[in-house]
Amino acid sequence: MMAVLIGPLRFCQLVYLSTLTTTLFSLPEASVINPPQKLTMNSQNFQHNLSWEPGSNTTMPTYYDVMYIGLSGSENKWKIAKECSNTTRLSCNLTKEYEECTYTYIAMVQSITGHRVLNSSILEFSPYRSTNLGPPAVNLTACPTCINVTVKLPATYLKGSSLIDIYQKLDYTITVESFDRKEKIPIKNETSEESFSCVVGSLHSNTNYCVSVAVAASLNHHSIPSALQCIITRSNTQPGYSIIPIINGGLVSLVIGIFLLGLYKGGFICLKSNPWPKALETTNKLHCSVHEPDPENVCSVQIIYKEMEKKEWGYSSDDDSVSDGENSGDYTRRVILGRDPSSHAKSNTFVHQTIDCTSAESSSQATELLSSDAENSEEHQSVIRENESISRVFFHPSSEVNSSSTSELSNSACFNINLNTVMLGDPDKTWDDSATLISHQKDAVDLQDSSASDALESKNFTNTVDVKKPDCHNISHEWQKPSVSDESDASDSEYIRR
Amino acid sequence: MSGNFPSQCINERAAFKPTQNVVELSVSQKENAKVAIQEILQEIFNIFSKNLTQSAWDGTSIVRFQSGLYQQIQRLEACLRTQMEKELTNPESEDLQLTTQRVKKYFQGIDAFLKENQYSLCAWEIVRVEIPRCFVLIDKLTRRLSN
Repeated sequence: MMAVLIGPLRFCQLVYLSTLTTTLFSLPEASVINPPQKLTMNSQNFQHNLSWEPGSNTTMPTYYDVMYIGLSGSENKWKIAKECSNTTRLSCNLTKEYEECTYTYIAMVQSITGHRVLNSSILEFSPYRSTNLGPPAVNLTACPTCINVTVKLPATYLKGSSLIDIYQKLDYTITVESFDRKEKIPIKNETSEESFSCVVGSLHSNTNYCVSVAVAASLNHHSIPSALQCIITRSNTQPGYSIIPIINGGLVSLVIGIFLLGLYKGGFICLKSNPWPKALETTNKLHCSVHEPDPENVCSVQIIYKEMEKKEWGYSSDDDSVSDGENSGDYTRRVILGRDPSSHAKSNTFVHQTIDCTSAESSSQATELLSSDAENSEEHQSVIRENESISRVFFHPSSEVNSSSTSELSNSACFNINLNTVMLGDPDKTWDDSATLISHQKDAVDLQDSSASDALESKNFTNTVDVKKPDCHNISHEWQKPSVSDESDASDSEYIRR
Repeated sequence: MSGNFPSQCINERAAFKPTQNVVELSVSQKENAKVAIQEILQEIFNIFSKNLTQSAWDGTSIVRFQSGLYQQIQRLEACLRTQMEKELTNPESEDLQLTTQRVKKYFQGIDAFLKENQYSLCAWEIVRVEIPRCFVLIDKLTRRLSN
């Protein structure tokens, strides 16, 4: 009977064992869960971030707790980081937990998967010795052969403490390298200030340099250098700094001003016009008064000379007065056309053209005379032409004299001249010395005889001719022609008529 | 010599209670700072000359550490002898005696802890964690010398 019971009992154990074994072997990969691994502390300027990786084979939701101990504080109990309890993240900020910077801390991550609690390995960390310092804030300014590097230390995440408060002194290294990486200049020094500057000199001008600064402590050589900043060494060209061109412009204008002042003082530049000298002031007025023409009655007088023919001429020598009506057809009137002003020093030449001023009855005679004298008057014409530039000095200046054409003879004025009022003379001499025309008749004739061969222009009047009271209506005398051509005889020459 | 503190040694940590916070040890005079530094370096050297067989550190690292310490101690002693001859330092000053006493007490406590734990691994690890704080103090005192 016992043997019958033992048989089934053993069979049950066998089944149980096999079932257990099978179960155990069937769940090997699924049940082995590893604790969190690869704990890493990433610390910068006393800001600590712990990160980890989940253990392998973790498929179910896992929660993590971060535990730490400050070993230097005689503690032996794990503390849980408050912000990182029951977290699903794979990182934790332990800045507040690691508040004693000189302590050595240890951290551990505990994973809770279902009911399984697994502890990671311990990560030891001493902030004072292991936190990364930097990067500092760098500002560059360039000068011709140097660079001014201004460095500002980064702030720490420790409350109320700066890097200088913790370390008191920091070593810094400025690395200056040329853009093509050929030159590298490390400059090492130490500082006790949060912000400091350093001038890197002895550089090539107009060259591109790149600067990087790193800070470190004597017991902490972990540093993060600043990013490369590049600058070109040249003088300041900032907009507000163009002082030098302004100064140059001011200097140039000052030099020019001094130069101009020197010229003015030296008399080379006259700002005022020279005042009229006092001595000449009255002359100025006189000039005006002298040149002011008196409002005198000026008449255009034309004295026309005509070469006389014997037969046609006849005169009475004793009669001064002349009347128009007496010898109406027999006398010609002589009109002085003018004289050449250029030769007034040499001669006072009166060139005249004769015109017949007969009455209407004898107008035909006048034309005959004119035509017949045309040949004779050629010479005169030529002489007259020579003196084309005649200006009327003694007579009305405005009237023009055209002595070249005989056709104008008809346009010339006919009038009577009272010989008592006619004076002959040199206009250069004063008008006081004057003699009437009649009294010099004989002299004029003598002159004519003696100078028959003389040229027209060379004869000079010694007598003055003064037309004081030009009486335009009574012209009774013919004036004497100073000289005639060679052909003219004494008898044929002009004579003075009454 | 930094490493991972063994988790099994955490419980033993509570047994170690240093006499003071060594970092906060202050020295009044500049000349006394040199003496203090020299004292500290000497004590550390003495500590790390003891039985290190159970520690997890390799022999090369220990020797390097010891020789570095020794060099610094020799230089400092020469400097101090000059200072003593010039009578810049009064060995009888209270402040100097106080500082020296404090340093000695501190290291006597460490030595006692090591002895109690038979220079075990965990004991050495705990000491290893504490000694760097002495160097923080030395660093602080050195800066006072240059001021």
